Amino acid sequence: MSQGPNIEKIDKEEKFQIPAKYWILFISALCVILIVVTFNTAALDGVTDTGAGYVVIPFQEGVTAVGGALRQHAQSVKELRSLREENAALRSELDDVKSELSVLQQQSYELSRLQELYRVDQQYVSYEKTGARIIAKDPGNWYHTFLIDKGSDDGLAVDMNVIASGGLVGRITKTGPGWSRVESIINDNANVAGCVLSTQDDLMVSGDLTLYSEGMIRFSQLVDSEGAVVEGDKVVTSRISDKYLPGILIGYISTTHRDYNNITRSGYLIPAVDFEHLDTVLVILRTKDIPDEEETESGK
Amino acid sequence: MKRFVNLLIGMLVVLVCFVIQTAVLRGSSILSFRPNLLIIAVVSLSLFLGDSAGIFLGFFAGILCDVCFGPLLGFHALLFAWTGYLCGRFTGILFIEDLKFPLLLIEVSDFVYCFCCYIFEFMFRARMIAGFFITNCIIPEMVCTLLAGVVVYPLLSILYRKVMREKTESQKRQERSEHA
Repeated sequence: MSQGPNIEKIDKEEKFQIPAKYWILFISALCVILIVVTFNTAALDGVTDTGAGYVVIPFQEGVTAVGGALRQHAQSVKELRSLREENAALRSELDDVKSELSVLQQQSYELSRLQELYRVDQQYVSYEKTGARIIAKDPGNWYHTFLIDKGSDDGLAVDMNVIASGGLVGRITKTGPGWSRVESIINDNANVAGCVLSTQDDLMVSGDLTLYSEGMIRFSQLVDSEGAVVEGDKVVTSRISDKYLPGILIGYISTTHRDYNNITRSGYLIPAVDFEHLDTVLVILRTKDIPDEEETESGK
Repeated sequence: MKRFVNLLIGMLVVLVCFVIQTAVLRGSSILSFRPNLLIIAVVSLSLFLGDSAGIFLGFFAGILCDVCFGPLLGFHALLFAWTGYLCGRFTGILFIEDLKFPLLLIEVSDFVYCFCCYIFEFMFRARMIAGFFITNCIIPEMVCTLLAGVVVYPLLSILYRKVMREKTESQKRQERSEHA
């Protein structure tokens, strides 16, 4: 039996209450002050980081851990039958692989000699890295920022680069004791200074919300008068970037076209990382040190 | 005392929705969009508990978002607090069991919230993609939120009826006569 509208308030002993409209004005003023303060300074960062660390991060880590454990358990039950057959096949394959390995080792020695010849700088494969798991994505559908489960206690700091499966994912914009927030390169207001690997021409890579459904991000300001840059060329982070370490793969050129000024080119880029299916990432434990320079708001 | 307990229960509901939305639902992406459970929670709870409680719960939900994700502290808090306030003004003029009006309110709040996010995140940087944004981001999210609201709102109204609602005069008289 459905009740009527709930308009009977019983509490006769109710004390005097501040009407809601004063509360909303007070809360609005407080929010505006907070917005202005956080926009201009970093005064409140410590309070909010530890607060989030105590209240929310444990839940998110717990939920992710439980979800991961359940998924693993279900998978192991499914795989039990086929594992025995696979084992026998793998043993024979192992012998073949061992002989291949010795050939590859010889080739790797030759590669490092050739790299020295061309004076290629230290590749990012030799930077010290640590793995982290993504525990939460932002609640909106388009910021493409996410939280990982390592923070300042694990040696992470703001502006450290984050990579996954060999490509650039983004950089850390905020750290707490046991968590960090990562802003990805496909974020609409993210900018990365990149360069085309084959021709060493610099360009600016930007995220774009309108393009992501097609799986692409845009680039601009490519100075390439001979038209040497073609589809499929690799784009890596540039030496002139002040937040990103050089040589990290960003993606592959998809299309280019000349700008109206007839000097620069722009176009679209396919990122190397699949952002829809990110689960674990690697954080490079080295920030780029630029002496005597102010950090800009969007990483360049 | 009851109001304080109701607020605590409301905060717990908001926290659970926040954790579900950010940690649990990121894996499932049928339409690659997730429903905005926080909007559903804030609108429903402010419909049940009134505008003052709505302001507080909205502020709490917004602070959770801002601390963990938002670029600026206070941005989401402001949006959600106003959502809670305006929806809380509708308390007392509708049937709790009715589904259509609360869902309509949830949809409108979701649209306004998304549009405000668009204004501050994109328009102020001169990225005028309003048409694209509405069709490709806001509409799918509203559809997802509607489907989730059909499930979540009745659950919350059951919670409210069993746990949080104060007994009406007729119910109290009935209980007294039963005990006598």
